Amino acid sequence: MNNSKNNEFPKLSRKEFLALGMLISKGEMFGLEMVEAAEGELKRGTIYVTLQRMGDKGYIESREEPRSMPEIGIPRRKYWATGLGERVYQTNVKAHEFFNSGFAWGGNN
Amino acid sequence: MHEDKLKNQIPILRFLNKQKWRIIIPILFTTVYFGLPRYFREPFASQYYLFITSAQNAAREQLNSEVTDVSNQILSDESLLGLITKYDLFAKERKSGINDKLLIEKMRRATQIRPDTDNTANGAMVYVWAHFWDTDPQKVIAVSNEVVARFEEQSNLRVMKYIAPPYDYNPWRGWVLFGSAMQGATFSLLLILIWEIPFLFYSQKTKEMVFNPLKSDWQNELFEAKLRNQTWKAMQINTRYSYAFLAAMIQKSPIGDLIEFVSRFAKL
Repeated sequence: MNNSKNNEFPKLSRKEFLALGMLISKGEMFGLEMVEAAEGELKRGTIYVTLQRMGDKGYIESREEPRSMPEIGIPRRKYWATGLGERVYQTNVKAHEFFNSGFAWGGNN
Repeated sequence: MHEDKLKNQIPILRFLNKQKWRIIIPILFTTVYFGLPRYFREPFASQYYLFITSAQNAAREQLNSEVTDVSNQILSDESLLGLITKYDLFAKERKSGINDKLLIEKMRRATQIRPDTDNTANGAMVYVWAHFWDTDPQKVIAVSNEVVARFEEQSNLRVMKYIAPPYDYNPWRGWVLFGSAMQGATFSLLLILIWEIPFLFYSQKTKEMVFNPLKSDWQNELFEAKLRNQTWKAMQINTRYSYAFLAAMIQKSPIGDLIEFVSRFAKL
């Protein structure tokens, strides 16, 4: 059962794809930075739920970034992509390219 | 060290300790802002003691009956309504269309005549007092003077008037203060409930991974806007994050899981 689950294609949702792409290309980021960089594609209300789900799947990791003086308040969380996350992202990029290529549309061409 | 101290407390004390500022600040605010003005609020009052004797050396019972008659006459519905109209009293209430019965009741509470005919050897003592909130003091004096004049007009009565000492017209002041504090406590309860909902219904992990980062961003953006004195932007940020908080709560609820499942299923 577990094997069949592990063999499933790790399809990323649009939000996961965007967030993971940013973390791979830009390195460590805060959630709010991702929202601002995504220019409206990622929202404040959904980004952390998406990041938590990606963390549960092992695609990303995070740590609390303690505030430096004179900042006070709840610490912010910094995120980065794991090796698994990078591989899943590359696989999705390739799959995306494949399904959008003429080969996929043309079939036998 | 502080954390250890908190952990050793019984749950309710730990909760109160953690939430102390969300309890103290609203209570202090409502008590000071709403309660204190009401606590120190005083009506303007004008009051007299009247010492009344009979001009014709009438018998005691006769005098008592005459004093009671005059008092009843002054406090009759027609007479009180006449005073209200003459001195334009309770203008706000009249504008709002209050009925005459309630208006007379208000006037009867504001203008009182208490005859004390039993404890005075040679005559009758009458305590007359008029006290009105938010009314021109000259009108209040005029009302009490008119009431006194109605006794003085009686040819068979001899009236001596004395200004009476002050009286506490706001006996409920302590309760008013307590009520304001309770309003604050209710508000703080709501505040705590709203702030704590995510932690009442969601796991510690969700709190750390979703709600805390969201709160942190909220604080960050709000702090920056306030630092630049951008009041409108601060309001926008509060609205935006309230919505974001709600959206995150829905997504992390069973409804959100269902939507996620359906959308994944639809994509297959």
